[in-house]
Amino acid sequence: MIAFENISKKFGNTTVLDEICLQIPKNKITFIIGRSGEGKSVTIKHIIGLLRPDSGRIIVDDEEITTFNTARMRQHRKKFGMLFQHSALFDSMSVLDNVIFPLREHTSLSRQAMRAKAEESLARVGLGDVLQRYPSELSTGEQKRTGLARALVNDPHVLLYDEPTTGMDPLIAEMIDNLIVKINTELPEVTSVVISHDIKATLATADQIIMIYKGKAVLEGDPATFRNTRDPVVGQFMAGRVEGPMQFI
Amino acid sequence: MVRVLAQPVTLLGAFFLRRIIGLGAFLIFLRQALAEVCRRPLRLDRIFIQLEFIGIKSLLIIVITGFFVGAVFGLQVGSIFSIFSAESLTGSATGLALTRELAPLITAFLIAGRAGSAITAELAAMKVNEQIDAMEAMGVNPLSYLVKPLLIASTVMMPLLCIFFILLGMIGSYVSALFIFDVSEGIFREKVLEFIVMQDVIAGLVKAVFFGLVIATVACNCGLHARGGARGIGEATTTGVVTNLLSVLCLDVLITWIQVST
Repeated sequence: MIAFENISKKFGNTTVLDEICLQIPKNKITFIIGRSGEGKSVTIKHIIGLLRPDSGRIIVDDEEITTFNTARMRQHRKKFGMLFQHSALFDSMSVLDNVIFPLREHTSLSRQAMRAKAEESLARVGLGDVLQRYPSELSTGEQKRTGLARALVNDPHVLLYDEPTTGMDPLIAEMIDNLIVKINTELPEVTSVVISHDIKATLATADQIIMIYKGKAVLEGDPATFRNTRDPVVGQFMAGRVEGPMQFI
Repeated sequence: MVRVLAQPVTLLGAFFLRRIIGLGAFLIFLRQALAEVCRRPLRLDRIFIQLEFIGIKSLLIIVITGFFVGAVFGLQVGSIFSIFSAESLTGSATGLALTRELAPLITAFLIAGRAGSAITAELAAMKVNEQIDAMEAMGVNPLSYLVKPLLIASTVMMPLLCIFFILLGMIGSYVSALFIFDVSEGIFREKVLEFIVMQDVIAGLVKAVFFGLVIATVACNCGLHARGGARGIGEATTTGVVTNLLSVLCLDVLITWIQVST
């Protein structure tokens, strides 16, 4: 389980996370929702240690990661796979080399074994014929799937998805959502944390939903809790209404 | 009135404060990068790639520039020495200037422009496209994977390129002396060997080693701290090249001063 206890984070004078408390259950799909700029990406970057909180504690699998030094944090990150919003593939490497990269860095497998594992990971996301292509030669959907294959290849305990469907056409977005469910079904020991703006997909896919507003988790619960909520802020966001208590700049 | 007078002082103070903070951040980066050089894994494959990029692929421009600098310097020196009928010293004067100063300095400028700018642009693009974050997220230290091979390759290749520059510069000088000032090959060689000692060559190569280290460190530091989109990459590259040229000049004065006073 991943737990945030009173985590605060400021960038300059802007408070992004304000003593936020939340819990992400193990082996489930948890969606984090909220408006743009509310600190969703900042939240998952805290989980993986790319950002350090100003105060508070983060517990991952009974370990307080906020006390880890840099070397310990790098060890901690090996448990994670992360799909970045813009895929963040290494553009000077082929698809195969991108997926092999974590294996080459963290395992002593032979080149053939690494290649077999990478091909297996690419096949899992439906990419079997683009091994020697470069990221710039792939469509956005293929880039996302390559990023997902790279995140999966090292058998992570936790998969983090940073807005995996933002900016995609509905068909590709649904394909990625289906992949998230498929991976969670095939790998039930994996905990998935997804950042999303897509309410329909969130309600259809999530086991647990957390909504962040003004640096705090305003509601945590299953999709039914969110469907039936009377919280005006959550209700406004779920309905996609401009009018309501949620303030716009 | 006081406020109007104080404004330039404040701006000047802020300017120097930013420079001092920048220098401090650079020194911290250098310390971290050097510490990483001593750690495993060695990353030989990455080092060889960078040796080729910084060394082999820069060889042509070094060879061409070295030849022409030597030839032009030989022409200038020879035309002055001809006033005193001392054209035979053209080779030794060119050789001394090349070994002690011109070869390491111009090689450093060329490498800063060719390889340094490319390193900064590549790392800056990786930074703004979240590739550095992706590397960190996979538990891989960018200092180890990206910076360390560049530091080693640049430090190793700079003195070797400097030697090529000296050799080609001497050939250029020889061509000038032979065809313009009618200095015979024997006299040219005799004077070069008489005036240039191994200490001169070593002094130049020591400079080249430090220039190589600084060029790679500055280029990586500017690239890894890039912010923003395409403009951020451009700004980082410009800053990297300008900082490199100024750093090499400052370091040159410092090393020369140490060499002269010891």
